[in-house]
Amino acid sequence: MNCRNFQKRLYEYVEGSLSASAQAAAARHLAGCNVCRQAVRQEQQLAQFMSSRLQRDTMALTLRPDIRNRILTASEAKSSPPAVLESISNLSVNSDHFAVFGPPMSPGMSVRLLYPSDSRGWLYFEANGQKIDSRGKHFTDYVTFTSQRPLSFEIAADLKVTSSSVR
Amino acid sequence: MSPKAVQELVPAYGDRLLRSAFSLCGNEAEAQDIVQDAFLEAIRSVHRFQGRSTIYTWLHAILLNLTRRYYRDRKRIIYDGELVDRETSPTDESPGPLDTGTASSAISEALRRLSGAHREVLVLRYYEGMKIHEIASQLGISKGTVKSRLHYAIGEMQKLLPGELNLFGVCDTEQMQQQ
Repeated sequence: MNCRNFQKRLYEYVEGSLSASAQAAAARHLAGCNVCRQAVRQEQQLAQFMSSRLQRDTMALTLRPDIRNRILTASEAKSSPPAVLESISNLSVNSDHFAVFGPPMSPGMSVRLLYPSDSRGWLYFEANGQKIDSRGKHFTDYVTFTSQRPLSFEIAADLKVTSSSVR
Repeated sequence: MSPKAVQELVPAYGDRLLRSAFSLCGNEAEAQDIVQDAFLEAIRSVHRFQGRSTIYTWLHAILLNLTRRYYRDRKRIIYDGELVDRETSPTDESPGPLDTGTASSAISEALRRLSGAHREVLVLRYYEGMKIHEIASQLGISKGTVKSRLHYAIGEMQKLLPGELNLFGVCDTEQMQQQ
């Protein structure tokens, strides 16, 4: 193994993921190459330095209790089939169209928005800080939003492919 | 995903995912939202988890996608803001001064200035401790591309970090800071 070949395998050598034969060849090369030994030391020091500093930068961060609770509530809601509160009819799908949809939901209630199965585009739900932003996804025929507390909410729809109505 | 499973996963991985999200996006409030959305997405799409990776790796892959979306949305907002700024102030393309109060904040600041692709490989490698083939699998790119991105990302960090700290030199940086 020459220096060029070793440098190509430097990261794998340091992390110990080379095959036994490649690891042995690398070790033989290192025994006689000061430049590559230096490169190994630098990578090891860099890894230790970056790891310790990134850990130190973030070690005080913890997931907020309200977010923990919201996740747990969502998992409980998911385990039982959502009840359809109301359907939306004839919602225009022009860009930037917003529709205020009510009445306010009770905790645990769900709303299901149905729309043509061939739609592509995005839907954005936001209600008092809870959000489901579905941009970039390809829908099948509905998305479901479950409230964790009484709230009213907005639905923004921007379905770019079809001009037919959301049903 | 059953409520019982979520009750175990959130305490086990919530903080770790949050810290990784913060390293990737540099904003605690956004990192909290990203972790919440990652778990909600996991609950919705658990049927797609096939057990080929650990559950943490799968959760982290969802987190990465959400972080990318965060940067796409943020870029649009910054672009709109820049258009306004250019109307009223002289253009300055040079980077602003880094916070050199501590090496830690300098690293976080430098990470934020990297491209998303370079920031991702550094965080996966040095924060998550992933091996080259694991990063390649997580990002859906070749091992050669991972190594190339790491090489350039480290080069960018060297340019962005204050030279006097010599963070990537062979000397002991802990000792340097104590002096």
